[in-house]
Order: sequence, then C-alpha cells, then structure tokens
Amino acid sequence: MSWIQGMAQRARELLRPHASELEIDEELRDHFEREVERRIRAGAAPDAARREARLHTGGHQSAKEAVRDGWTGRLLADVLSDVRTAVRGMRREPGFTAAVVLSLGLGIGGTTAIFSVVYGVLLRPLPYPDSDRLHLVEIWWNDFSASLSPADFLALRESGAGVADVGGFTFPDAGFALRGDDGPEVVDGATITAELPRVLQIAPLVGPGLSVATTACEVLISDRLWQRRFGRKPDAVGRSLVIEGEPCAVVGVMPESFDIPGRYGSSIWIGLRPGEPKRRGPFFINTIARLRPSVTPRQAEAALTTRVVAILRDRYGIRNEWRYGLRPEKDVLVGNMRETIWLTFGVVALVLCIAVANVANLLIARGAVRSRELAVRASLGAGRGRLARQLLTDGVVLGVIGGAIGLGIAVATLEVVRANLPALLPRMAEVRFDLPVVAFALALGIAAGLAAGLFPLARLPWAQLGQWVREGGRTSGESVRLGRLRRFLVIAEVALTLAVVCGATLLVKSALRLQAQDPGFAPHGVLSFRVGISETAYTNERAHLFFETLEDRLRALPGVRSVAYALGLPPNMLDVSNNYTLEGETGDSAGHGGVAEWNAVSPGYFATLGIPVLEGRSFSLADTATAPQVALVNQSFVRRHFRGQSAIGKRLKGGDWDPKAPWTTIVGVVTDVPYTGGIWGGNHPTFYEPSAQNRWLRSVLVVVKTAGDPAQLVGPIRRETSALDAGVPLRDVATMTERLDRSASLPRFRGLLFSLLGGLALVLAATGIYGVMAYHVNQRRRETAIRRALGARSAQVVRATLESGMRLAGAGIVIGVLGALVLTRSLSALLYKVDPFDPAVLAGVTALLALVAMLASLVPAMRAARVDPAVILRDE
Amino acid sequence: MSDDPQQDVLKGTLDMLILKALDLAPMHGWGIGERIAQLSRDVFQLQTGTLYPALHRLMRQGWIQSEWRTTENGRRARYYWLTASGRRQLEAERVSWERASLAVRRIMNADA
Repeated sequence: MSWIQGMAQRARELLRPHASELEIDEELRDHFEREVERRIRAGAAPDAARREARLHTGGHQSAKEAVRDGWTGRLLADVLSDVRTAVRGMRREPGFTAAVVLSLGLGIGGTTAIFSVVYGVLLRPLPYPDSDRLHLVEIWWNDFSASLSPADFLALRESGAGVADVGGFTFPDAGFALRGDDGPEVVDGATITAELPRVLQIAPLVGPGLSVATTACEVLISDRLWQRRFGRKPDAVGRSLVIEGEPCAVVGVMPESFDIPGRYGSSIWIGLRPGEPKRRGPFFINTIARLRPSVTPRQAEAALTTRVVAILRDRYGIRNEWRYGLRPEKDVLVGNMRETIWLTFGVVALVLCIAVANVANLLIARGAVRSRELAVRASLGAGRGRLARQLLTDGVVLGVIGGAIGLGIAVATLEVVRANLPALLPRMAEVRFDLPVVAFALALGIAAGLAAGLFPLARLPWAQLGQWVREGGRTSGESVRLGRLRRFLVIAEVALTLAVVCGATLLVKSALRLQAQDPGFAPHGVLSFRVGISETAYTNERAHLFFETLEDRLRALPGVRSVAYALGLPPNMLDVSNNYTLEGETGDSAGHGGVAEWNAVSPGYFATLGIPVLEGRSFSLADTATAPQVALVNQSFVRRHFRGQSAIGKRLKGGDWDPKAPWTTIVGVVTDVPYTGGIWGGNHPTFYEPSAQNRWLRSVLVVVKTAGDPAQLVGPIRRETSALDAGVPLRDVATMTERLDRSASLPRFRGLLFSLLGGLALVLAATGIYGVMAYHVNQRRRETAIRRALGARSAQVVRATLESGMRLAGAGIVIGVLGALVLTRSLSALLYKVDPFDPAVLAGVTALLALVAMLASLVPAMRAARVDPAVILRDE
Repeated sequence: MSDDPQQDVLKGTLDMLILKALDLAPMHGWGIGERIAQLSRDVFQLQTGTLYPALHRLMRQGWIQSEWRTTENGRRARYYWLTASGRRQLEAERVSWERASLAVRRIMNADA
C-alpha cells in the first residue's frame, strides 16, 4: 500500500506545486519560530535568539529549493518556468533573437534540405519489399561489364533455383507510342520479363499478369492509365492497346508503387520474352536477381557463374572466362552521384558549424550582459544546476525555433531544387519531407542550441561564484577567459568560411568555363526531336524511304532552312560506339584499330548543325546503299591514327574483323563535337557513315534549322509527320540551345548551390567578427578613454581596434587556407578545366575575406574613436 | 556545505534516524530535529535544508505521512507519522545498520 501513498504525495507535488510551496513556507516559518522560542525560553534576548536561530536552521530559501529539487513534478515545472524565462528574455531583445534564430534557421535549413536528399537518395531503401536482397546481375570480364544477352538471361533463369529469382527489363529513352482516339501519344514504359513483378514482389491489382509461355504481345498498364483509358473498369483486362503500331492485350493493372528500378510513373510494361537465340549476343537485358534469404551475394555469384557457364558451354560451345557479378540495386541507381551528395552535405554541415559558432558568440556576448541577472539569482539561492538549466534552456528554445524556421527554409529550398534538376538526381522523386527528415531538423536545432548554450555555461566562474556575485557578475579573470573563447570561435568561423568560399568560387569558375566552351556546332535556331517507326511494319527500304520523304516534306515548310536526321546528336545524345580495323594494320584479327563513337547521318547533317568540313567532302545523295561505302571522321580520329598525314582515301572496316566484308573509304574530316558525357566529357574519336548505308535505322533524331522562332514550327512539323504515318508521334522535342543548356545544368546548379552556401558563410562570419569586435571595444572603453585622455588621436584608436580585428581574421585565414586545400582536393572531380589549387581563386578569396573582416571591424573601431574620455571616466 | 563533516556522518543513516524519531510518536519537523539532537547529545544537529528534503523523500517512499494539525497552544503545525511500511523499513534498516556497525567496530578494534 505504501507505493499508493507515495504516488499520492508525488501527484500533490506535481499537480499543486503552488499549494505545496505555500505549505513548505509555512512549515519552515513554524520551524524557525519554534527555534527562536526555545532560545528565549533558555533565557536569550529576543534579538539574539532570532540571530542565533537563523544561523542554526540555515537559509529559508535554500531549504525550500532543496525540498523542491526532490519533487518529481519539479523538473517539469522548472523546465516550463525556464522556457517562460527564456521566451521573456527573447522578447526583450528582438534584434538579438532575430540574429540568433536566423543564423540557426539558415544553417539548419540548408543542412536539412541536403539531408532530405541524402536520406531519400542514399539511405532510404528502394520502394520494394526486402529491397536489400535485390541485385543487378552483370557479366564481368576483367574490367569490362555488360548487361545480359538473351542467351545469358535464359541460362541464368534456369540455373537460379535455390539461389535467386531473376527478372529482366529494357527501356527505350524515348518512351512508347500509344495509339489514341486523337493521334498517338508518347508514354513512358519498359519491356519486362514475366518474372519481374514477382522478383520485385509487387502483384497486379487486377488480372493474371504476364504469362511466360506465349508469343502474343501482352502489356501491364498503370493504375493511372487504367483510369484514363478504361475508367477503372475490370473488363479492361483482355482488351487491347495499339503500341508502336502493334496490338497488345492488357493482362493486368499494376499498383501505383510499381515501376522498374529508378523509374517512376511509367504507364505500360510490355512482356519481354527472350527467344532461344542462335548466338550469344547482343547484350541488352538489365537483370535483377532477388537473392534467397540465406544466400550472400558472393555465394550467389560463384554458384551462378559455375552453373551458367556450364549451360552456355553445352548449348553454344562458348568457352570463356566471363563471370557473373552482383551489385546491390540501390548502389547501381545512385551511381556516381554518391560523392557529390556527401560532399555537398559535408559543406552544408560546415556552414551549420559556422552558424553554431556565431550563435555561441552571440549568447556569450549576451551572457556578459546577463551576468548581473545571473548573479542576482545565484545570491537569492538558485543552485548551480538551476542556473545551468536556465542557460541550456535558453539555447534549446532558440534552437527549436531555429529548427522550425530551418524546416521552412528547407522545404522552400527543396522545391527550388526539384524544379531545377528533376532529372539530374537519381531517385529524386523519392525525396520528400517525412518523419526522419523533420526529426533530423528538430534534433539538429536542439543539438545546435545545446552546443551554443554550453559555451556561455562553460565560462561561468563556478569556483568563485561567491566572489563573482559580490562583484556583480564581473571579474577580470572571467573576461579574459571569455575573450579567449570568443576569439577562438571567430577564428574558426573565418577559417571555415574561407574553405567554403574557395570551394564555391572554384565551382562557379568551372561552371563558367563549361558555359564558355565552344561546343563545336551552331545550336542557334535549330529544332530537334526524335521520330521512331515500327520495327516490324517497316522493311529496311521502306524505313529509309520514310525518313527521306519526311526530310523532303519538312524542307518544303516555310521558314525551314535545312533538315537532316541522324542516329545521335551532340552534346550528349549518342550512345553507340563500334570497334573497327584500319587497312594496313595487322588486320588479321578483330579489335585492332580501336573503338570510336559511331554516328549515322543524312547528307545535310553537318550543314544544319554548322559543323565545318575541314578536308575532303561531306556526304551526298549519291552515297546510296548500293554505292561504295564511305565515311567521315573527326579531328580526334585523325589525331589518333594519321598524325601528320591526310586521312582522305584511307580505308577501314567496322565491327568485328571479317575478311569478306567490303572496305569503307574515308572521304572527309569534320571538326570535333562532343557526344559522350556532353561538353564535360570532351571530344572523342568519331566515325560517321551516311544514313543511306545504315540499314537498321528505325529511330532517328531530326534536326531542323529555322529562319525564325523554332517553336512556331512544331505544329506544322507534327502535321507533316502524321501525314506520312498517323501512328508516329514527335518525341522529346527541344531546341539544340536547350539541349546544350540542359547538358550543363548539373555543374551550373552545383555552382549556384555552393555560391549560396559561400555567401551565407560570409555573412555569418562577418556578423561574428563584428560581434566580437563590438564587444571588445565595449570592454576596453575605459582603457581607450585613458589613452584618449593621454593624447591618443582618433586615427590611432581606430588603427588599434582594426589591428586586433585583423589579427583574428589573419589567424582564421591562415588556418582556412590549409582547410581550403583539403576541401578543394576533394572537389577536383567536380571541376571542369579548373585547377583545385587555382592560386588566383585562393588569393582572391583571401583578399575578399580580409576586406570583409576589415569592414566588420571598422564600425566598432569608429565607435571606439568617438569615446569621450570625460564621460567614460566619470561613469566608471 | 558539503565540507561539513556532520553531513558525511549522516549520509545513509539520516532516513533511519528520522524514522526512529517518529517511531516513538507523531511529531512536527522542528520536534524531529530536536529529538535527534537530544538523543545524539547534540552530535547531530539537522539544518532545515537537510531535514525537510529528507521528510519529503520519505513521504514519496510512502514510509511516513503528514497532516496539518492544530497544536496545544492553537498553532498550526505539520505532523509526520510512520506508516506500516515505514515501520517495516525502520526494522530492516536497524538490522542492516547493526550488522554494519558491528563489522566496522571489529575492523577498528582489530590489533594490526
């Protein structure tokens, strides 16, 4: 029963703290009076009795504090009262509060926005059940890796039993043409093997799903397409859609959560059924394996390699050292963005450190002002713990408000990021503000507030609290310690800022270099788009005729200067390369010569894009399928093989070496343009063949050079295209200027982001220097006044203050330069034609920081110069 | 305060002394202090900052209870008394204290 009585007492303390306090007051008074009476009874005079009784019983307040400190509810009540005191203090000093809360808000906002990206892209599991068991399967041969061929896929599927469940997919960049009532529409989609939904563990909402054993075209559709095309009627299953000109039976509806890894919001998934092939290649099936729970990736690699190699040997007589490698699907998707994201997060964290240092500085400055208040509270009996709690509560309240503001800033920042680079970051669609991110912001706020609150706490002179109180919260030793800490914080701020601003400047310089780089072609006024025709409905000859006719009809449109089409376009829309053998080299086996970017272009291509022909001739209409095979190469190709000689007339064979294949003659040389990796990727050896001599073209990029506004021609071009084939839509329409711009958007965005961070760091550091110098000047008023009284001139006073400000900045700059060297080295992969140790940047940023530090100390210096010795010396 | 030797002596035994003082009869705070001082021949003199936090601690344990009463001369005072579990606690502490003090005495009296 005793615990019930105990609980009742606790509840009284918690629920009625005021009444309980009154009781203690009364009890202590009663105690004191009894003590006095005892002494009077013993014969003491009333005055003496009271004095002795007071000494004997101890202080009323401290006894009361001691009782209250034991209360359970006491902690809560104290915290609430501390919070009230903190808020009251903040309202008294709106300027100070705004400075602190904004510093924290900006720091936390930036960090949270980037954290949401880190979390969404790097940390959050893929949106499939048990997604850590999903691995991408690749073929490895030394350093070379590839997707799987149908032969490999079939062998892998057979041998997976007990180890892994495998499914495959492929996806076209330009989507699928879906026939509708008013013309074709282009929808995103993929071709997937029947097993893939099972491997990803997401079942259809309706319908049986893809079947393994059929040759008919089957398609799964998204929930949204089901709604749009069939009004969510269950009888949609069994109806058919016309995709790329072919009828395809709907066999199921997939839930919103389903898509192939790395893609979101696709509309259709067409059945992919790799037939039993005659040879091993080509390699194009992305293969996902779901490992059995007890199997490790290394075990699976070994088991699959052994089994598949055996099957391939039996079936195709292939003997080789290829093996199968597994990579976690999440790592595959994030790819090379991992470093960029972590680096950005690191820099943002540095800026947050600067913000915390700044807030600590401001709190110390205010702590000096509040010393008197703390001293009074200490002398009224507030214990150490109580004062410490108050100071920490101040920090935490500021931190929580800062965290909330930071969250707002982060939401806004993320919207900007999302609008500017939707396609640049993998998994960006999965980035959102959910519990972990909000918790991160608030935890960061509280931690930052605590850290900032601990600094002023650390410098309260606990050991000499009594002396300190008697002196009204001012002792000389204390102010020296405070000065040292604040100076350290400012030096750290300047150092961190220098490093961040250096990084930002390098990235901006890099983005500007990239922008200024001559792309090698003339993008102005050129419209481009993709046209793809059905693989089955068009023979090679008919396909060629279609593209020739389209070119003619477009050229006849008013406002069109020239038209051409090609397999790929600069700056980054060609992903075909081929090996070749040059005549005269040891041409008895495949592979001699090299690998080059391989483009097929119509005769008007170079003129339309303004790519100059330097030597020889361009392609002409005479270069037909039956004419002798000809080629153009670029300067890089010439440099690789014909140093100092003319390339014209040289002969080569494309693809694997075949003695019976005809030779191709080089008839011209053109200037370099980038195809792989955009301008950043640089120029590579490139080989061009006339489109008429490439028999496989079904999907081409058309370029139209216009006299006026390219956008005005999109309508007429669309009409001409559907007049030729009503089932062919225009895909991926954009001007070449837009494509060029887009190819540089990631470096540009990085430059912008880091500039913002650098600017923020600069503002914070300037505030920090200003705060310390203003406080320094205030503390030295007396000294300054004496010096003035002894005849020091204003200029000398200003110089003395500036000097001490610049000494701080100087120390920060020296440390910062060392820090910058470390930071910029890790940036080097993100820099385009800029040296990470660029001396001009380092010197410029150092000068900038020195200037900012100078300006930040100038204002307090001027104030020091205005010190009137008479007034100060009289007051002190 | 913490360098007062009296505090160290009382550490751990204060609760037991208070329970013992209340074992005889219900008492107000000052009376408890007086009784402990008398019984210890003024070795233990409890200040309010020690006594009252201890009383509140014992109440939270449920070992004592309190009530405001009007005393002989019409004054209000808060009286504390032992609960049943408080009496058991006192007995338990007495046993362990006797064992400990006996052990300490044996150690101190041992001839080296």
